[in-house]
Amino acid sequence: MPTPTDLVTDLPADFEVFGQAVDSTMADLKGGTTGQILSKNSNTDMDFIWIANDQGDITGVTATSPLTGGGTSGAITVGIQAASTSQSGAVQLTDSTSSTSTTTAATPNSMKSSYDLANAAIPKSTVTTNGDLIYGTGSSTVTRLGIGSSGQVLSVSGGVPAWATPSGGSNTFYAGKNKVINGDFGIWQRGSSFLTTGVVYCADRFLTNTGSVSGFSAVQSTFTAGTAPVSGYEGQFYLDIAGTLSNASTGYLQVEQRIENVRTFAGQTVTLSFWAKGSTSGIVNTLLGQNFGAGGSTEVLSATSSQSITTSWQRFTQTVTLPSIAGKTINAGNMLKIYFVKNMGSSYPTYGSSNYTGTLSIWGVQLEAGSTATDFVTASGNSYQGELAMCQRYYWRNTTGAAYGRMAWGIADTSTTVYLTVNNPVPMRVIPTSLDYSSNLRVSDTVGNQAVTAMSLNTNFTDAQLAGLTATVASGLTQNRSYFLEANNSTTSYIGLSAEL
Amino acid sequence: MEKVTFVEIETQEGIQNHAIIDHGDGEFTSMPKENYDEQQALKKDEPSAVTE
Repeated sequence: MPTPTDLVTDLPADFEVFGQAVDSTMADLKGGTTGQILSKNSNTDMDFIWIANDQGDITGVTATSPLTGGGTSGAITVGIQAASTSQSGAVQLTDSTSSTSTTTAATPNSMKSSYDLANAAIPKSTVTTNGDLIYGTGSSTVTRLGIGSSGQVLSVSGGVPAWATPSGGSNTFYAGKNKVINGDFGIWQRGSSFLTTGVVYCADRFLTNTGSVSGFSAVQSTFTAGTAPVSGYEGQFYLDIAGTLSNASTGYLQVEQRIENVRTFAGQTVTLSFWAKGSTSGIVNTLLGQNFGAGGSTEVLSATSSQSITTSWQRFTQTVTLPSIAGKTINAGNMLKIYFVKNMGSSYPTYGSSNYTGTLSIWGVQLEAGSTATDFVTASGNSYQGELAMCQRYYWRNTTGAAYGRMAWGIADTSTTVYLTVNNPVPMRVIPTSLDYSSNLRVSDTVGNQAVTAMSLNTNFTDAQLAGLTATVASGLTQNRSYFLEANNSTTSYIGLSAEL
Repeated sequence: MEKVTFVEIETQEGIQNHAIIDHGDGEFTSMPKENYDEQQALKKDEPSAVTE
């Protein structure tokens, strides 16, 4: 081939050469058959080769789960199976936040709804410890409150819940806790002043047991309003006991409460508590006694507890584990006794050696299970009506307060005796054993009346619920006529029946 | 000072013996004599005296 600088050219020859060169260079484009296509044979320029037109063609579709269909020729159909919990596949979306479907899937919308709900819930991580509580600290905010200590109660402190130790214990104001009846000295059916020595009941259920004493008195005293020793319990009366030993060896002066049934608290730890003060400072002993009744096993006394009385009201306690009563012979009249030993002669060392010479004041007596003196409550749960009924199980007295108040009804048996019937206000502990009565009683009908000279229990017609009495007069009754027993122009006349221990 | 009188009371069931204790000041306690005797027997002269 000529170049641009050649001076002489032979164009025909040159074109022939050129043509031969082109033919040689494009030789790969020659040949081939219908339907073939050119394909590069190498990276060298103009190096081609004719090949069959089958490059990149799909020769078949093989469908595997979750796809379905497929094939190797013709029109091929491909599908996708429905998804389930046992196979993959296509799922239906849903906005539901309540569906229980196992074949649909949640949309972002439903997920957001669920998220929003979860986001508004109290995080489980709020609580960290066994017993935690959760309380709100404001709108949509909470915090944890760790469990309190045993015996604490949920209270409020600083405007938020807080565990607190209840002042004076937990809720201990319930009936039956205190086995001492009339522990607040609120009931005095027999009167308010007692000077007789021996075994004498004064305030209901409390008796004084004295021997060889002088200057003895048991008197109902009244709290000045607002001065009762327990805040929130406005006691009205308390017991004042005075007297000293006239015989330093055999004398004794004690106050007792006799609790029916020696099985009471047997084998248990109990706590006696009471408030006391005195006209002087000194020692008073307390102790408990398990008494097994007439002819029963010998009374078992606890150790004594020395109580240092001052001139101010104080609460005193004694905790005792009462022995088991196994093997004991228990007879009628058995009881658990509480002793307040004011003065005791040297002959009775098991009762302690107290010799309190002042006037002793007692209030708020309680005997309860356990080793702690809890809040004072009367046996009936601070119910005056309930406490009176409990007292009347042992003694009741009807002082009508009316000049001619009627107390019983009956029929004359003779011209001098009337058989009377009276219902006891509550069933008594046992058949009453004695009848108290005052002078200034009479029996009357619509015609006249006769003064009563004597009263007696008619034991053949007396039981725990109904008492049969006999009234004796000097004369003037009509046999088989009905008569009332009534006060004889006296507002202080009374009859009373006792089933005391 | 208490004064004790023993009396016989006629009842539908016959004569009953009773003790009537005069406490003074117009106050009395009456009880069947057997009850009175039992109490007296149990009222030993000591701190553990009981009434029945």
